[in-house]
Amino acid sequence: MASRIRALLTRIARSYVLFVVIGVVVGLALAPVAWNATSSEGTVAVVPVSGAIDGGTSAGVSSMLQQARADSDVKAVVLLVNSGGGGAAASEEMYLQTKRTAQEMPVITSVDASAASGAYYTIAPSDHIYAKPASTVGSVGVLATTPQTLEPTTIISTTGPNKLTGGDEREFNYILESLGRAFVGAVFEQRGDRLELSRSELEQARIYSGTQAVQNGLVDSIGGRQAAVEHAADEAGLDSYNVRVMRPDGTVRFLSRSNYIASTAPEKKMVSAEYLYGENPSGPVFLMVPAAYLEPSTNESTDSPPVAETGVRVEATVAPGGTHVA
Amino acid sequence: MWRELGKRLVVLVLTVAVVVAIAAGGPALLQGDEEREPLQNPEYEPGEVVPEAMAATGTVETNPDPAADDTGTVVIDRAHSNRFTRADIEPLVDALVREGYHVEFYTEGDLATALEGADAFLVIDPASEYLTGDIDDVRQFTGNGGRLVMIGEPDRTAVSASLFGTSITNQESRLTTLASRYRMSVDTEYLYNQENADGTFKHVVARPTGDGSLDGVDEAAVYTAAAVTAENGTVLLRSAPETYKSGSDEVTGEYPVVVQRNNVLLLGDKTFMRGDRYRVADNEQLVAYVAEFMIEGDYRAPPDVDEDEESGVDTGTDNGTTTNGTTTNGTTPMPAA
Repeated sequence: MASRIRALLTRIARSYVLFVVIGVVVGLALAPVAWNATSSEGTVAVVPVSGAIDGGTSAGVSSMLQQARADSDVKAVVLLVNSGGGGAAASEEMYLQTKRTAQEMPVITSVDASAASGAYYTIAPSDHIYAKPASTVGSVGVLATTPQTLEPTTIISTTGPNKLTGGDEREFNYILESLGRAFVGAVFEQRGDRLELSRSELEQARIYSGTQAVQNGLVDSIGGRQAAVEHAADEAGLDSYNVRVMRPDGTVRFLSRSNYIASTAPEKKMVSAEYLYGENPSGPVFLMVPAAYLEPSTNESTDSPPVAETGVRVEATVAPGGTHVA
Repeated sequence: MWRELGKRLVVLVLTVAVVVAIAAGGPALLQGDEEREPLQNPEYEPGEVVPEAMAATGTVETNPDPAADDTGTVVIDRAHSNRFTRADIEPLVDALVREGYHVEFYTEGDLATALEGADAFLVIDPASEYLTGDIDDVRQFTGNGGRLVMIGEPDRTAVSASLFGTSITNQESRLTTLASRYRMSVDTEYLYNQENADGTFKHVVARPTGDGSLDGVDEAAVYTAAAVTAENGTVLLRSAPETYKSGSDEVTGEYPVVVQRNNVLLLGDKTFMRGDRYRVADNEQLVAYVAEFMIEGDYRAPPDVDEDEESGVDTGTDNGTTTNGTTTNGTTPMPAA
């Protein structure tokens, strides 16, 4: 019996079949890497811009765009936007980052529910902007709480009369106007050739629906995320490509399970819907549900904004003392 | 043996030097062709972005008609919940006082009595309408040479905080009954201009029409002003071209903000003469004009004048649109009916 087993093992060991099987197994294990290395001509990096724009958002988006520019495999960027704006300086930083990226590679934007104010500022340098019919874009302008008239007293002493307030209301309006002009000037610099709005019409700071925005040139065409990714790949001349969702911390998340499985990236995770689109942006939120689905009692906290019967929820939150592109 | 060791040490040191040199020079060699171009931002050119501030200089120098009295009284209405502060009127009061005039407030009682002996009556942004009796008193006053200055405002939204939370109230200039008796009216929408403004769109630049005697005013700035109209009146000051009224209409125009009809003056803004605004542009000259207008009033107790009689010297009609030059009326106003 033992001799028969030994003979079988010897035969197997001498057979080519075993080595072929082992070779196939090892080859299949390595296949995704090889497939990736040869089948893809480059990567389209997806950079989400969601929620209120503040210093953290700006740092995160800047980091993602810097990673995209530094990665020689990234040939195009898709900005996935769902934000009603935020801080003025943070929005300007994001504008400059997008502008720099657009100088180096195609940048295509897909607007989800909203790209208003500072978020529109961010995407203005894009080569092409897609929006959906229910997206809201525009609101090109700046708002701020006017400083109160205060006077240095015996309780608070200052070295100069304007140290407390920074200047009077009239001077403050000039400051605000210069911010607004920079914003409008930047939008015209980037999209002046496509805008059907005059400078003063844009300064009115209206919001527009996606279809209205296509008409007035704030947006290029109607389309969603997929259209943006495909457009970005086309612009970069990629027939086959990977799609990678960037993360501020350098980890990578994936839009689809097949991309996720194929990738060799360390610390990989599937992307969550909230990460892509964030929470509801401030400003009017247009819902497409019957009014019966809206239950005011679902507001858990007393300071939740009221949900009107029309399905339009208005959140107007302005932090005191700050300047906002909101 | 030491010599052999020395050779090896030299080789070692040289090797380290070569490795360090490669490590130091390598990145520079590798990145040599990746020089970044600095980002050009012509859209942020300060010359384009920073608005030029209007100068805020000058003093109120009144120069009334030599025929005017050296002294007199101006009565300011306080009986109709008028919304103005001391800062709102101080530059005007100062100009009047320097000309030897008294300033009195009418707070209650018989208006005719309060206006007796006065040269001018100033009504600023009343929160309640004038009743018929008061209107008759004012018309009696202007019919006998007294001067009336009305200052209105567009509808304003006032935000006030209290223990019960924040409340928003709408404020209206209730001048309709009084002004309409002089065939004048104040609009409810505020004016704005995105191109000709003092800092922000609601601070509209206004320019004299050339009619009337607004000497020395090239440009004035009005702050959240209302358009005013007067049938057969003289438009003294109009907003700059491309002015809008608040609301969603797309109509632009040069709206009148100061109109005069005989011895009645109507202005669509009170803030231009406020303590911290009256020097902006040529606002000080406008303040001086208002002061002179009041000083030159000369109320004389009746003989009665037929209330419906028009003076007949006005020509043209102004309906608040862009047409210029509504009248050839002289600089000396005639008593209103």
